[in-house]
Amino acid sequence: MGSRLVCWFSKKQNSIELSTVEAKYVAIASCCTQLLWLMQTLQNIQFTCTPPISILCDNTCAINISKNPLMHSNTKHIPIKYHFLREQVLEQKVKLEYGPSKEQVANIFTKPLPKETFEYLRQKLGVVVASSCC
Amino acid sequence: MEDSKPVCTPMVTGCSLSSNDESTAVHQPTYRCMIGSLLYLTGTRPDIMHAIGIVGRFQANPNESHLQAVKRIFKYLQGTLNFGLWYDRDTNVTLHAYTDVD
Repeated sequence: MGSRLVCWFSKKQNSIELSTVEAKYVAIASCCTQLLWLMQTLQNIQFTCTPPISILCDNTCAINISKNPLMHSNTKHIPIKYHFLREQVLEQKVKLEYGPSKEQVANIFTKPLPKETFEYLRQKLGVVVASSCC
Repeated sequence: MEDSKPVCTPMVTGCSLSSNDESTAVHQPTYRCMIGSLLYLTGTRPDIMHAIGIVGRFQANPNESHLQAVKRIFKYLQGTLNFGLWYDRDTNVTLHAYTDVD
């Protein structure tokens, strides 16, 4: 929210995906559910958040699947529940945007990173030395 | 553990832990306690979340190599004791979402 972290999780996906795109697509769908929940909560406490909210993802293919209502032979086995994302995109509640991998904060939750990248992303997450901010 | 040498990252890059390697088994309750205390910490330290997720998978049958990975997380924390999440007063409320998989 703004540039601060409010909600995060990192977990092993409970289904097996055949391709990166598919795995990303599923991850975006679950990210979208969290986002909708946050939007509701914010609206309940009278904060206005204007949709569409952007989801940043470093894979353009997954973004294209969500835009294109056609069924491709490689995506037709993705369970329908994950296509709820497509509906949200159509309703303009969320929008998917491409963000380069380097700026991708969520990277820190998915793999062990080398020192420089790790420290950069950690600072972007808002994890800082307590004494430096007061 | 208090006077261990601090390290920069909670996990080695390209590290591959496996559940069926041959090193000696370690005391499971101790291992679980360590994971538990680390999980408690994720509330303010999202940076170690991934590392804990990985080592937590071996709770059923932990051995020496997994314990080493857990100890590395503690060594990382040793070097970054004063870190925490920081929310300043003038944060605005525009939502952004980031997502990634590996």
